[in-house]
Amino acid sequence: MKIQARRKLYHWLMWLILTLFLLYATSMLVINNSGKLLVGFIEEQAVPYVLKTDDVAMGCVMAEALSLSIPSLAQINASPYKLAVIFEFLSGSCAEFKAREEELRYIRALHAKNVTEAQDARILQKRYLNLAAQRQLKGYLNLELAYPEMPGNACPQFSSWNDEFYWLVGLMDGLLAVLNDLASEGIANVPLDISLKVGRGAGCLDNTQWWGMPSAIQSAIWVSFPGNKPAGVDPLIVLDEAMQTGVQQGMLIVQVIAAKIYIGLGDAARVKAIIRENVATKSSLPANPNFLFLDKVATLQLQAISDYMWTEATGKRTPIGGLGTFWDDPVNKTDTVDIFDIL
Amino acid sequence: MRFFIDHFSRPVLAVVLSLNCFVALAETKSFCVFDLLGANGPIYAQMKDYKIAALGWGVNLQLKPYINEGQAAADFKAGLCDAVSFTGIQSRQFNSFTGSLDAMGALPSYAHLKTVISTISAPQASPLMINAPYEVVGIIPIGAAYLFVNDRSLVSEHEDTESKLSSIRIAVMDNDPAQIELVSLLGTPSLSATIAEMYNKFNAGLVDVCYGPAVVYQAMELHKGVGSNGGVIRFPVAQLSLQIIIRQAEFPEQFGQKSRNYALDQFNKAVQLAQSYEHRIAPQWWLNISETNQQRYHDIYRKTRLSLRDKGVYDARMLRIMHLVRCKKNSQLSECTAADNE
Repeated sequence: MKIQARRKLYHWLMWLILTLFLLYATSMLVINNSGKLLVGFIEEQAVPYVLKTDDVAMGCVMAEALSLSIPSLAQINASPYKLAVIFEFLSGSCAEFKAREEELRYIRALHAKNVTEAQDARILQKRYLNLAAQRQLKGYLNLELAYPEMPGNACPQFSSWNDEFYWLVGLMDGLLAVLNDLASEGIANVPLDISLKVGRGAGCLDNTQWWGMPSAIQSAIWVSFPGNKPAGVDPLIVLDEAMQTGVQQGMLIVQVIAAKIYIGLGDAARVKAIIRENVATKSSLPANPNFLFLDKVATLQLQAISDYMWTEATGKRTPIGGLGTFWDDPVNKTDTVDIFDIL
Repeated sequence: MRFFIDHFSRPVLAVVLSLNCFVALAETKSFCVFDLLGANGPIYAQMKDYKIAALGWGVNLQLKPYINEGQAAADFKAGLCDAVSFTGIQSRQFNSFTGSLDAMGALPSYAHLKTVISTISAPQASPLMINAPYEVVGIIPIGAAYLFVNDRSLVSEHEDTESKLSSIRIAVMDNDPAQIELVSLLGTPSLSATIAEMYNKFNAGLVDVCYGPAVVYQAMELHKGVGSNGGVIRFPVAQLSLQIIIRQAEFPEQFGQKSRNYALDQFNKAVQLAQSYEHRIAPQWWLNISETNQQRYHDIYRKTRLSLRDKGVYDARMLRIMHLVRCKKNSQLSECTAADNE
C-alpha cells in the first residue's frame, strides 16, 4: 500500500516536472519570438500600411509617442534598429515642423520690427532644430547598428524592398541631422563626416526604383562639397534629372530635396518653379496609392517652404488654396466698362 | 482735460508718429553671405541673428547666400551687395589691415586673438577698420588652422626634418598668397588647389600636408589622408576669421561701431564652437611638437610674415599689433628684443 502511494507520488511529480518544463520552454519560445514577431509585423505590415494613409500629423504624433519604447524590443531578442530608423525620422520631422513655425514667427517679428520677439523666436527655433538633430542622429546611428560598418563604406545585400526603404530613410536621417545641428550652433554634436557617408550610401540604391532620391541626395552633397563629385558631373543637372525621374512616377518627394538645395543656393525662381510643378503634377497625375503618406509629406514640406517665402515677402503664409501661386505673380486685369456717363 | 488734450496730446502723438516713421524707415540693404552650405549652413544661420541686431540699429538686411566666396567678393565689389561676409583671406582685398589678422603663425592662442580683436574693435581704432569706401564692421573667429600631415616623423625631434622638408608636398589654397609664399620659403613642392579640391588631394595621397580649421578634419574625412602614421600638428598656423564688410556710405553713422561691439560679444561662443571641433579629434592624432621645433616654426612663420609685409600682402600695422600682443602675453620671447621685430 505504502509502495503504491509512493509510486503515485513519483508519477505525479514526474508529470508536474514535465508540465513545468513544457510551460517554461513554451514561455521561452514565446518570449524569444514575440519580439521578432512584433518587429516583423511592424516592419512588414504596419509601416507599409501607414505609407498608404495620408494623415501625416497623426504619423508624427505616433512616432513621437512610440520612439522611446522601440529600443526596448531589443530586450526580447528582437532587432528593432530598422524600426528606430523610421520612428526617429518621423519624430525628428515633428520637431522640424515646430522649428519652421518659429522661423515664421521670426520673420513676422522682423516685419513688425520687433527685435525681442525675433530673438525669442530664433532661440526657440534653434531648440527645436537641436531636438530634430538629436532624434535624426539616433535614427542614423540605428542604421549603423542595423548595418554595422556599412554606411559610407560598403553597400549591404538588401533582402527586400523594405530593407532598401529603411536604408534610404536612414540616410535622410543622417543628412538632416548634420544640417539641423549646423543650423542650431552644433550643440547636438552630430559627427560631420556623416554627410559624405550619406552621399556614398545613396549610391547603393537604384535611382529609378527610388524615385530619383539617391541622385538628389548625392547632388545635395556635391553642391556643398564639390571636391567629392565625380569629374565632369554637374550636380544641378543630376538634380534636375533626378526630379524628372520622380515626377514621371508620380513620386514627388524628390522635389523637397531639390527645393531645399535651391533655397540653399538662394535661387528663389527655381524654388517657385518646383512648387508650381508639384501642384501641376498633382492635378494631372494621381498619387501612388501605396505611398500617399510620402506624397502628403512632400506637399506639406513644399507648403512649409512656400510659407517661408510668402512670409518673408508679405508677413503672412501661403493663402488657403494658394500653393503654387506667389505674391508677385502678374495680376490678370478683368475687363471693365466706362461708366463716366452714368456718374 | 481739454487743456491736456490740446497742449500735450498733439506733441506726444507727433513724437509717437515720428518714432513709428523712424522704425518704418529702417533702410533695406542687401547682405551677401558666404557659406559652403549656402542658406542651409551655420554661417548663414549666424547671420540671421546678426540681421535682428542690425534691425535694432536701423538697417533691414536682405540676406543672400553664396557658396563661392570669390563670387561674393566680386558681387560686393560690383555693387550688387551693400554688405558682405566671408573669410579674412577674401577681406584682405578690401582692408589689408583686418585681412592680415590670419597672418601665418602670428597668434598662437585664442586668448591672443581675443586681445587683438578687442583692441581693434574699440572706438578709437575705428579709423583702422575703414578703407574707403569699405568698413569692416565685425570679426568673428572661425577657429585656428592646423597642419594635417600624413607622416608624423615631420614633427619628430630625432628626425632630420630639415632635409625632409625639401621633399614633402604641401597643398596651398590658390587664393591665398601667404600660403604660396610660405612654401616658397620652405623650398618645398606645392600643389595649388581650391578649398574644394585641397582635402580630396590630401586624402588621395597627392599631397603630404594640408591646412585648415579643426572642423574640416571630420567634415572632410581627413583621417583617410592622415592614415595610421600621420596626425594634426598642435600648433596654430593661423587664426581664421569671418569678417563682415559694408559700403560705409550706405549705412547709418554709428552702424559700424555697434556692429563691431556685437561681433565682439559673439567671440566666446564662436571660440567654444571651434574648440568643440578640436575636441572631436581624438587625442592620439594630435602631434605635440618639441620646443626646438616650435622655435623653428616660429622662425619660419616670422620670416614669411616679414616677407609678405615687404611685398604688401600683410599690413605692417596689424603685424605690429600682433607682435605687441605676443610680447604682452610672454615678454620672454626672443622676438620681443629682436632688432628686426614686426
